[in-house]
Amino acid sequence: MDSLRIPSPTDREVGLRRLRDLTLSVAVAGTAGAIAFGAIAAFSNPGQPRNATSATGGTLDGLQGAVGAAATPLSGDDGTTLEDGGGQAAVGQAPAFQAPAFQAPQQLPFGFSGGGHAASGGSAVR
Amino acid sequence: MNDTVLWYATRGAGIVSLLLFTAVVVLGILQTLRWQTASWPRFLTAGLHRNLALLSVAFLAVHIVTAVVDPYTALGPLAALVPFSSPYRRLWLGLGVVAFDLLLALVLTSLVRVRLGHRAWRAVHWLAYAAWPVALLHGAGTGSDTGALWMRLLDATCVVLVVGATTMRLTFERQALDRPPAAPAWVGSTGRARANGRED
Repeated sequence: MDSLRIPSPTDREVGLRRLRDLTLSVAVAGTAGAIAFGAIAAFSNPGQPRNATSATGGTLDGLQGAVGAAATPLSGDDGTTLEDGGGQAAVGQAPAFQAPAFQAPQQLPFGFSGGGHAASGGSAVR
Repeated sequence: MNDTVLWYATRGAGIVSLLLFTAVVVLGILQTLRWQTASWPRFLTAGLHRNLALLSVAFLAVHIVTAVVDPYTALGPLAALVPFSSPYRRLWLGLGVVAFDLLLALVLTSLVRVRLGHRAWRAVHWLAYAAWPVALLHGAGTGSDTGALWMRLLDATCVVLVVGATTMRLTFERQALDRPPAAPAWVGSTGRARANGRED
């Protein structure tokens, strides 16, 4: 593994040139790689977008806004403020997550019948 | 700049940082093994180890800056330096900050190695063995692409390379310990034979 051969000045010059070329190549490859990985990341997980959409097509932006608004105390008509419980009310009112009830057709094939359930979902994870 | 573009830049630079960091660790281990071939002299390993370490810091800077300025995460500059100070994914981001701080210590002490002294520099340099797995954990824990097959393959490749190089180092160190000490150069042929446990 270890050799006693000492590099000559010419070897050293060649080696340094090789080191410079290798470093430059890695720098270029790294930059290209970062762009490529960014692009792969953008296309590889379309089911996990930054502003995730719910099953009903609504975005989480509305939900975030509603939660943010709930952080400020709600004030009543009599001037009192409502500290607790405000968050729940605000989240419940988020328009983006009001999933319209899915109405299953009354008559299904093979004689089945029945109502559907409201579709909702989606997550904000990145 | 669009915050989604920042997000993609964070991910791309983070992955390249991990790959470069892996290469730096492997080259560092090869350097300690004094590995070389006729076409690959030892100083090439040392030079590439140093250059790639600086390059990985550059990519890491892109990774961190794009994450910090991203309005979605709202990390703030303090979160990039102080571990576990960010409320956003505290544990996983905190591990990334720990790895970054360790890497910063490694690079800075290497830049002032002559003034610091070999013993102190070497002691700090052992932190590389801690920084790499912490960085890997950070990526595995908070990376948006962790679940993707290609990212798993990249992570697995990095692990195989570092574990393989570390095993090689441990094996050669053990062999070196088992081997009888080499005779000093001034010992004559008879003395050298005696030192090697042979009597001619």
